[in-house]
Amino acid sequence: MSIFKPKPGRTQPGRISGAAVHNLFSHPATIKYIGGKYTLDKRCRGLIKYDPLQCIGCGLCMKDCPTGAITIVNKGTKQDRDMHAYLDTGKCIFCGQCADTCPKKDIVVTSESDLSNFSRDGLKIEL
Amino acid sequence: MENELVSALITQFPELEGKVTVSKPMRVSVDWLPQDLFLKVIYWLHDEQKLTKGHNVIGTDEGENLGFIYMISGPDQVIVILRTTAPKSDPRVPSLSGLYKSFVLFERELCDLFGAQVTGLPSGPRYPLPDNWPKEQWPLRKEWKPENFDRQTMTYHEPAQPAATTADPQQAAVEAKTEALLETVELGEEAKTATAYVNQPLPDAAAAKPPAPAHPEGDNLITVPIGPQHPSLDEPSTFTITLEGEKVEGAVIGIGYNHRGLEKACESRTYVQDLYIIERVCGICSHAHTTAYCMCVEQLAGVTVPPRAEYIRLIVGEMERLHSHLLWLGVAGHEIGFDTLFMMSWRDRERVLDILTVLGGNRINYGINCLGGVRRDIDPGLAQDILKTMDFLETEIEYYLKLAETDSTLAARLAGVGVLSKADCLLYGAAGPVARAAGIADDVRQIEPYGAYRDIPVRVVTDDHADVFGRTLVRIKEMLESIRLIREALRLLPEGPLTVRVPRRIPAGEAIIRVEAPRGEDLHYLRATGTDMPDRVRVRAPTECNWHGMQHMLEGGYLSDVPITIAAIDPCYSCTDRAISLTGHSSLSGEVLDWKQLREYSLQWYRQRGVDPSRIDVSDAAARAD
Repeated sequence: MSIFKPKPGRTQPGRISGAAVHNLFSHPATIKYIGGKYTLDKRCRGLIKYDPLQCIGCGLCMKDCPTGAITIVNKGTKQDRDMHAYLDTGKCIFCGQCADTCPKKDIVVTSESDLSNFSRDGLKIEL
Repeated sequence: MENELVSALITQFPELEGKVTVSKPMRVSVDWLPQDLFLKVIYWLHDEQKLTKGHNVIGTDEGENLGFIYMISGPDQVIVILRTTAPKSDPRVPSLSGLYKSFVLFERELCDLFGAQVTGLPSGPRYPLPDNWPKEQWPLRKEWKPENFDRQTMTYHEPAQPAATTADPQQAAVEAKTEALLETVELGEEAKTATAYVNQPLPDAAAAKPPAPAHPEGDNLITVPIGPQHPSLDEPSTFTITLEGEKVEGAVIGIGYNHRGLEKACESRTYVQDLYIIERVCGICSHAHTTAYCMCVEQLAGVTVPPRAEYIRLIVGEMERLHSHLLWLGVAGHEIGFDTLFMMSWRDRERVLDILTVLGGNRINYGINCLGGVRRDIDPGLAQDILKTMDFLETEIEYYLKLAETDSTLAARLAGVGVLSKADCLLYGAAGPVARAAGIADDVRQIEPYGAYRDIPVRVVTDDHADVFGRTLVRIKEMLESIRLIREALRLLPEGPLTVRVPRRIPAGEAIIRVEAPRGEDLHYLRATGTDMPDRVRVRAPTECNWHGMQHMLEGGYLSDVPITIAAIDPCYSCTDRAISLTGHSSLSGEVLDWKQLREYSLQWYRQRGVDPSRIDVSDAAARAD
């Protein structure tokens, strides 16, 4: 028995003509990079979101970050905090460990993934 | 089993009284022994107790001494851990590669990474460090600091002692200023590139030669170097193949192009950070590596993972096996010119990856494991999606199985290629589908069930073809088994929490964990000293023990079978080497060239050989081509 013997259903003449017509009028499977609309599942890991009002400045996220991508700076005083978070998206591996570690849960992982930039310095962003 | 072995050991060697312990089920641990006694014990275990499978050799730094930990097992699969030491001043240790063929690569690692002198080790290419690595630099010794090593020039500088700098700081500041001025004013960007190019040494003619072949070229012997660029899979390694006609007479395998120093990196990071390093050991079996690592840490911390987390680990692990085997099936099809199979199986693989993306968050390094459990839950909606995908995959994989079993072309192409018999598998310590294709029921999920495999027993798939055809069948059938396991796990998925808390500081101790990765047995060793960083991490990936039989598989075959034979063990070079040296095997030691430099270099290369590229008339060549 050879598997090359086609199944009865597969011998219909013109069976692939439907696919040919479909391909003629359908959009391409690829997405244009700038301007193209793409959807990523909400559960995918992307850029993190940071809430400076909740942050207590414990620095655990900096300690646990495997690549040292996140930096939390307090520009105010101990009593009157002015928290800023900086992320080097070139270093970030999108593991989400900072969100797991954060005792106040004010770092949240989003599915934002459009982060490319023309310069290396442009990859360093303030959250 | 363990206790019988312990009592037999103590009866034979009374001096071992009190030194042999059963550290956990299936592990017999022997304390540090002097070398002569250690040799007696290991020879006795090999000859009398038939402990003939060598799992791993681990080097450790014990301060004044170097430690060597050997792991062997026998038919009852109990791993015996033997230890011996040698002082750093005289780090000699006899090679056991005569006893255990699978120890060759591990012992080469001891030489390169620890500076041990393994006497009696067969000669061969260096592994795993690059050829231009400086002498007397052993990176895994504790006194060696990665920050002192300059990768551009490949030199190691001891940090300057602060007391030694007695020069006047004012004088130094003036000098630095002058230097900075000179650099900015006198040398433009163009001029700097030019000097760099002039100073750059040309490769030595002798050094640029390929390594000497194992057999001298006779009248009818031809040596063909294959690699290092993508010999079969898209990963680097070299194969120096000696041919007589089309028959392979000898093969020398050179690996180690992917050494990234992960084990050293792990020693200077915390347990939480190491999890992500371990995940990046391999792109395909990332979950198997993290599972093994997490199990090591959890065992040392003495915590029990919640059942729901164990089930989710099983589901992700089996999905990883599905996508790994589908990837392999595609690659194997591609190697033998069956590109339709490649397209079809990779299309199916995307379905698995889509599920894993949603489940874990990333497409390849899912990051589902965390210390003490898993990070994400499977909700009912996702479970339905998984079941739907499994139904789709089952019909596809059954079709592939039918194809493999009935297609005469495929059987004719694969049968009898890359044979590694049952006896040879045991001799070379082959693991995973390679061993199972030779009829050895070697599956950690059955030998030493871990996690949810204790509740859901695995039916081990074996075959008796012992060749590439057998390995194909085993992998396809294993996919069907994985689908069954995933369905079963989703049906039995218990309720409960996902994680338990694991302390940041792990109590002192050591753990040896085996996990069945898609490619075979994955063995992790972890030693903790009570701090928040591990003292030693050793990852023994399954491919590392499948390399030893490769030479045997290639010899006697044909040249056209070499790619599929290499691909059939499903080699993962980054798993094996674990560790990237950007300047690796480049003959221009320590230089990274940009486009312009590369062009200049090629022009000079040609001029040195009497060819002036500027005089070549391109229009003439173009006219002839027309």
